[in-house]
Amino acid sequence: MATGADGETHRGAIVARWLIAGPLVLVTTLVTWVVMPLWVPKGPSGLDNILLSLVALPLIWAVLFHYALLERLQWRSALILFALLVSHGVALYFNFTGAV
Amino acid sequence: MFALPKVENKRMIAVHGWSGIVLGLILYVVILTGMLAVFAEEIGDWSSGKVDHSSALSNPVDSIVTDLAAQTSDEYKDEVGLSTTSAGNLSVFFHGHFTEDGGSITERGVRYEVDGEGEIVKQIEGSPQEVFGEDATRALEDLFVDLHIRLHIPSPWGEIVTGILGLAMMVAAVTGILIHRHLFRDIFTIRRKTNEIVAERDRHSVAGTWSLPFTFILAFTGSFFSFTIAFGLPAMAMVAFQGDQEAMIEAVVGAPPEASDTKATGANLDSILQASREVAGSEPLFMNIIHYGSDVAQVNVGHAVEDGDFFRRTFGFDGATGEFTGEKPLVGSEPSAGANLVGIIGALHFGNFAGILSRAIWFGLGFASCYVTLTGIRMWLRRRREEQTQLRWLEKLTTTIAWGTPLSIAVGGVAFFLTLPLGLTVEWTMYGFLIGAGVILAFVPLLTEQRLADVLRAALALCLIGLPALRLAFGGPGWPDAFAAGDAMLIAIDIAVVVSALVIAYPLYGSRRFSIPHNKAVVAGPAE
Amino acid sequence: MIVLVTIAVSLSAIAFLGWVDPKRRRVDSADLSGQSIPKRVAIVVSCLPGVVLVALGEWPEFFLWTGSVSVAGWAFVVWLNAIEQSSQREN
Repeated sequence: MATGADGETHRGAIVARWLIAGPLVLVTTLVTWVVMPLWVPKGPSGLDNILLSLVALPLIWAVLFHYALLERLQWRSALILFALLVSHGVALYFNFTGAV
Repeated sequence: MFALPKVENKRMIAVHGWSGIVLGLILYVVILTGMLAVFAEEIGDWSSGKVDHSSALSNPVDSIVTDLAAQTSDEYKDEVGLSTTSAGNLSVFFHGHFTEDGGSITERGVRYEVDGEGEIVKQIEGSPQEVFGEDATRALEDLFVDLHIRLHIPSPWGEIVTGILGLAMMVAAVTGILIHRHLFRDIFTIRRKTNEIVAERDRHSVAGTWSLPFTFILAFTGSFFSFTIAFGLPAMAMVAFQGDQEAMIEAVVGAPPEASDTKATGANLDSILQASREVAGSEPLFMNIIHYGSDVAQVNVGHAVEDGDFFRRTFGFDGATGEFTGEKPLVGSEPSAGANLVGIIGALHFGNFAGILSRAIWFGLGFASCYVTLTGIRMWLRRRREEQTQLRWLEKLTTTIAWGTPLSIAVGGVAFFLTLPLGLTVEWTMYGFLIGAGVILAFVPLLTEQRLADVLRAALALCLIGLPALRLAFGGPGWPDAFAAGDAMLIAIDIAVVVSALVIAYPLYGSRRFSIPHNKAVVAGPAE
Repeated sequence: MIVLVTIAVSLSAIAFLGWVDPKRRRVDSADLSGQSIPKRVAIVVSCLPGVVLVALGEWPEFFLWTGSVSVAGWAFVVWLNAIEQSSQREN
């Protein structure tokens, strides 16, 4: 079986890898990040939650992206990213509808 | 150093290569202009002919502000900002805060520029953008700083692009470590006896390994700034303050004291400046007065970054009594971990925390990053030269961008000096840059890659040699003026520009392939 | 001032390491020598100033040290390989 340029063996697996490391990581990063100021401590100035979240944005993406590339079991990376996305998505929804 | 399994290693190599090949050339433009931006202020002063670097706040300002206040409309007298203009004049901006129909808060006011004799040389009314506007004497500096921040793409899209480029640079650094099996064993070796591909690979990985920690730091801090400007801050404010703009501004700049209708003469501003000078041990750079002329006035005085500090410091004073009220944090009303972190990120990105020494080092790091980017792209293309001849255009494009970017900026510099006496620099520096880029692109199909590289090198060297000459020819201060004013930087930049020109031109000297008809070099670089 | 001393210490150690580096010398057909004690000492000495600056909490100095060692170390390696190449050409 021919190995693809990126070391994947099936065409389908290559596409899945890039869908996970590309769009899924991007959306998960943005949703996780936007929820951060809700749980990061505000600190004495009342701004730490915003400032620390801003700093975290490139780092969250970098961690998730490299994780998605290196994880052998694709279903596991997909599952973890989905779990992050859904849990933070729910938190975001409640923040804006004011249900909590 | 790391032994990734074969499949993962191959995937990492692919990601490293593709992130470089797809975004590397634009990334190179951002890094190159970033390298220049380390000395933006000095290059700005050099190009505008400013040799007097003293702060306008070193002279008495109290009576000037009192006189200006007397002729300013009351609605603008809520806040006053004092700073030094690029021409060395005192800038005094009286402004008020107004709530618009949609609920957003805007600033409007009147700005005066007062020269050393106390005469008003300029007076403009409007928003901060309108009254500060584009400074014609800083157009050359703006050209490359704007390229670095947003590639001249309108906000927020330009910042989003540079932010993504920062992420790509982070990816290249991380995957670069992961795929390099002998990270430390190879740091002294550049093999030249073997073939050119191996030598190119060694040059790339040696430079990459040495500059690795900073590649990551500069990329990470850069994307932080890009994303924060582009959408980060508004998005965070939306979530944290649920869209309450006033609450956010209060949190960021600290809640202003309640306005008071009780008038008060207030403490003498010159005494406050003197007190601040004593606390900080340096000259004040700017001063801000909140609720001017009332009994609750607050005065903040900002100082330059001192050696051994990461960021500039601001000191607070009671406007009515002149009493020192304490040091102000960079962001917010109380010192906090977040504000310190943001301050350190700024210092690490700009390299401005230890004067000329730290900036010279950051310039070197920028140069190393440019080198790593270009050698990486070349290596990727060389390896595929045999089987993929259709990629030859990309090799030529790499050469074009590598030399064409600094050349276009230098042509922008030529246009800047030519139009400086006419006051048309804001438009013409940009036109010069675009004309330079256009002429270069027109030459690309006419020449072989090697000849193109030689022509661009020669043109760049000519343009650079021409810059100090034009600066002097169009009324810029000469070395005696700089000596008299104690300004070594102007002389240093003149020398640096000429030396770079010689270094760039040197490989062409005596080279067999160098036989450009003279007129071509002149067309590509209209410096002469 | 302390920062200049730390930079000088690290660069001297790096210069020594580069000079005796087996891989580089093998390329130039010289002898292969293994990990010697002076080499291990030099590796420790090259990193020590950074550790000291961190321990003292001198962060601006630490980043000055890292930055200058990165740039100067790279410049040194390029120079070292360039002079060796030119000396080979003469032989």
